[in-house]
Amino acid sequence: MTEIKRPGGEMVSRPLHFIFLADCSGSMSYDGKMVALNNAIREALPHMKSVADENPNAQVLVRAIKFSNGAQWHISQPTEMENFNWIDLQANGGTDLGKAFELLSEQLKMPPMNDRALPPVLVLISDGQPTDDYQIGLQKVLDLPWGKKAVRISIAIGDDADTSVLEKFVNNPEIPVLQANSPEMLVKYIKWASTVVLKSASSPASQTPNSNQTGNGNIPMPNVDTNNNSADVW
Amino acid sequence: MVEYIAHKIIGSKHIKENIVCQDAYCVKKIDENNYIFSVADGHGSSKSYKSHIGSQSAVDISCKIFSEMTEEILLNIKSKELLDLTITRLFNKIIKEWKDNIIALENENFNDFIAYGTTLLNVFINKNFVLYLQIGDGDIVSVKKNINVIKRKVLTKRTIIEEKYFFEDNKLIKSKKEIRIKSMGIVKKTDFKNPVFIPYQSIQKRIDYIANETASLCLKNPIKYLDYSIEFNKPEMIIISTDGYSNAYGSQQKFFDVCKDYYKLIKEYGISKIDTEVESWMREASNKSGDDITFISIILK
Repeated sequence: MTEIKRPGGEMVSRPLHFIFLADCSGSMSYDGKMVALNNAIREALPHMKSVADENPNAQVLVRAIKFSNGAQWHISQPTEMENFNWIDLQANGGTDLGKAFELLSEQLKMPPMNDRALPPVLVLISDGQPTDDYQIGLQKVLDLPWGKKAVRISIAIGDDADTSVLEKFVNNPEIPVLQANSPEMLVKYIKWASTVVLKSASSPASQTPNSNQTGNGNIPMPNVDTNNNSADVW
Repeated sequence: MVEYIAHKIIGSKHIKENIVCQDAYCVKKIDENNYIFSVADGHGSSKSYKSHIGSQSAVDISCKIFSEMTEEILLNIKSKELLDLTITRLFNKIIKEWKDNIIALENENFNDFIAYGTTLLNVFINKNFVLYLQIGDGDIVSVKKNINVIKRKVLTKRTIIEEKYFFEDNKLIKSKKEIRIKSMGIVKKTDFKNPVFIPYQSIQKRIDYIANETASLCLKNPIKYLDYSIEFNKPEMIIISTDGYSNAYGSQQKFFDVCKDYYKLIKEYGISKIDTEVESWMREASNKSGDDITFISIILK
């Protein structure tokens, strides 16, 4: 009996863009912060790969922006998890966060974003204060439909980070800025962003307009041991 | 008047996570000349934890209300102003009964309707027209026969101009090209007519439906998000589908190709044969999108 060919052509998973925005200012070279960040991302990758494998409906594509004096794509090509390898960041210069947002906003326009994509996950990691006018770039991101729909996470490294700026990026009362005061905390938060948040964004569940939901709903926050301050180094 | 296929499957991601199917559908033959097809997609998020009940309730109530209001629809179909009023009344009745149903299940003070949130797609088919209503995501795609006209004009003994007229995205396109004739001969002006089947969106999707965002019956003023359209020149086939199917393809055009292929396959193999194959194809699509899929294909005679 002749088999009837399935109607339509190739089927594809929905793209899910995961973008790190990493502070590479000079202060990140102190107290092992940059080493810790590179290690934390590298440690998270196998877990990220597992989440991607467990959610085949999402095609996870990873990139990274670095910012210090100006901003550049550190890894510019959206890369599938199985081919993604982390290249160590180096620290030197200022904190041109605004330029990082401008670079990001160009990639959140349609095109290159596809209307079938899942909500992007944007993870901003910084230890200080912006040295340029970040507000213009941030507003560009938040004004874009894909900027609004993205899951935006901020991780503050150390007490000198300007958490008010990081909060403005997140712009969601249900998701606080994560305060990493030790390498262990940084590993924990990077892993959380690249697994729990990624899994939530991969969900096909719907949300109504103007809701702050993502994917399956409220994203479970990572556990924070607020009593153990002796481990703080930053 | 119509033949149809209707299937619903639970999404691959929902099977893994032990979540019930959030989709629902209802088909009702009101009488010899009128049918209603209703499809709904419950949101399935943690805030919409009873949306599988919300979607089933929405389609059942839609079929009931359309049956009750058939006469009024037929009476007002030719007047845009009167039809607008009728559709508004119809939709508000659906919303009211849907909410009343939820309150009856919960308690009289209940107002967390997002828990039951769902989209709703309705297609009302009469022997003379088709009426489409949609709130939220999902696809209503029609396939229509259009004439593909080719005209040839002789320019010189060696050259002719070929003009082709065809429909694309519901617009008439004209293309022109020059053809050199390799051997001598008389070329007469010829008209060719070959039927071409064109799929198109019966209701234009709102551009802000991205990243799984959708309008819903649970919104404060849902009528603001309702779209509807009428066709008096009925299509050959209508497909109603929840977004789990089209999300398995890279673009809307690629999903149109799916719809066009369904039409060809039904014509070639018959609707009963395709009915036996559809669920396996839906399963393949759900393995890509992860989502539940409801798929209805209606052949209009």
